[in-house]
Amino acid sequence: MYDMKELEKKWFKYKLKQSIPWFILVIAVALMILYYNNRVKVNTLLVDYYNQISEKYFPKKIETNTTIVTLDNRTQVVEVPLPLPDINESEDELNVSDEIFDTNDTLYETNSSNPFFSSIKDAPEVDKKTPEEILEDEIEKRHEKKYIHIKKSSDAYQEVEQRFVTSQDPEDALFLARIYYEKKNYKKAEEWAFIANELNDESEESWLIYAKAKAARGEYLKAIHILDSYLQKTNSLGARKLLEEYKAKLSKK
Amino acid sequence: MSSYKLLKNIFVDTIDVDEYIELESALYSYNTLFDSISRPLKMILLFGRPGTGKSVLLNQIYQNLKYQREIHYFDAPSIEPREFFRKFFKLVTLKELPKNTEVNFTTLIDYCKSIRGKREITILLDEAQMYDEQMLEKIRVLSDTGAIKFVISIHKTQNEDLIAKEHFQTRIWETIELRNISKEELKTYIHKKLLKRNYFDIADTIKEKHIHLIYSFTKGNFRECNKVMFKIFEIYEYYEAQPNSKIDTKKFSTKFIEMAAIRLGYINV
Repeated sequence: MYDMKELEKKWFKYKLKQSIPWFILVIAVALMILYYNNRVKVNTLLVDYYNQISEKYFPKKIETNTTIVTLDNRTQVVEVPLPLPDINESEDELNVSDEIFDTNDTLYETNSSNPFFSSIKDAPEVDKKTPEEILEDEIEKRHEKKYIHIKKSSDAYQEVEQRFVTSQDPEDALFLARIYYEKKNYKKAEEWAFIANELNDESEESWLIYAKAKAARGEYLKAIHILDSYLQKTNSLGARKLLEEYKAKLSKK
Repeated sequence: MSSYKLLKNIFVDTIDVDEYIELESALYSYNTLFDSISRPLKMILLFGRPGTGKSVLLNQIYQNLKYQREIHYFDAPSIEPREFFRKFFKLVTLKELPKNTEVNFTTLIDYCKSIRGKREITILLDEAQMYDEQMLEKIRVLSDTGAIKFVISIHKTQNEDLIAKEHFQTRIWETIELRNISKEELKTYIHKKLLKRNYFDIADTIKEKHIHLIYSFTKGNFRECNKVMFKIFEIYEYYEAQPNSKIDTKKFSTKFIEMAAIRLGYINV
């Protein structure tokens, strides 16, 4: 009889070899399951953490209070953001006080860094900030709080007009035309609409303000002529409507 | 005596007719060969890979027909032509060749021609691939006399076509190929072998999975199957002889099948 012990050893070796692919498969499946579970867990943790941070610093809905201010004879609604929650500054310090509103003829602007407007009030500084507060301040800087800056309109117009001398920006000209028209200063509106149109004759608003300003001054025929000219270039519904309106008014006269 | 020793001896490779197991495929081959021998053919070629049952079939035919017709079985090839023709001379002339004399081939041919139509002699040549070309050529000439019919059994090797193409191309009128058996037949073969010796319990423990495993190693070859079964029972015998032997007689051991396969080189570890 041959060496049975040796044969047994060979058989164990064979079984071991035979089971290696199964071991590898089982380990691979186990690793995949572990990886998947951990990934889900990590993702859940990350999402939770992100949600906490988001809720803390970026509330989904910023509640606003509404203040009604009078601008000339018109009424405008100005939205003032409420103070952000969980920031270690007192409510009073963060609230924009009523003092910042000028109930006279005013404009509002949200960008405090714009040199065109001067800031009304700096946010009070907090002494002895903790690291968490410093971090919060850093986040806050990246997502600037909106402050309302109000300036007297006459100054604003002057500054836009001054800036236009150097910028020759058709947007500025159009802005002035729009504002003057709203203020019923039709002559000025007509002038600025003309300038805006000279710089960019494809701006429909410049054509329309120009025509409307003319019509407002009773010059319907000229307004009709302007709108006709514009309608030869385009097929604007707004222009056509105005044209019909002015033609009707002209026929009544 | 150990029962496993008796069991392993059932699978000793032999061509003994008593050990012949009638399987469907073997029966088909037997009937084909029987019909071919009955017809006036000069040559019949029986071929197949080693262990497909050629020798068993030839022996079976010889045993069944030896009292009915003039049939002779050359189980081992005579390497020396002189020895072959001495044997051949005796069965054809029914006389012993005198000592220190040799058979004159031309005279032998003439004698064979003279008995044509009077006698019909069938010679079963096993392991014919062992004969050299010169001998095969002489066998061809003898078959041409019309008095001698040869059944030539050869291994299916790379040179398997040698005889058919070069020497007996026009004379072999019937070819019978033996192939390995199917898994189902292997199961029948093993079970019948065991049941023939009344080992019902052992036969009952050998299930499909064991047959599948044995078949994967042996590919349905009788000789290989016998070798594996012999080794399995030899391993059983060893463990039975060990003190505190824990052989489970109710279950056939897959482990022992694998160990036998390792021992016989079917599995390389």
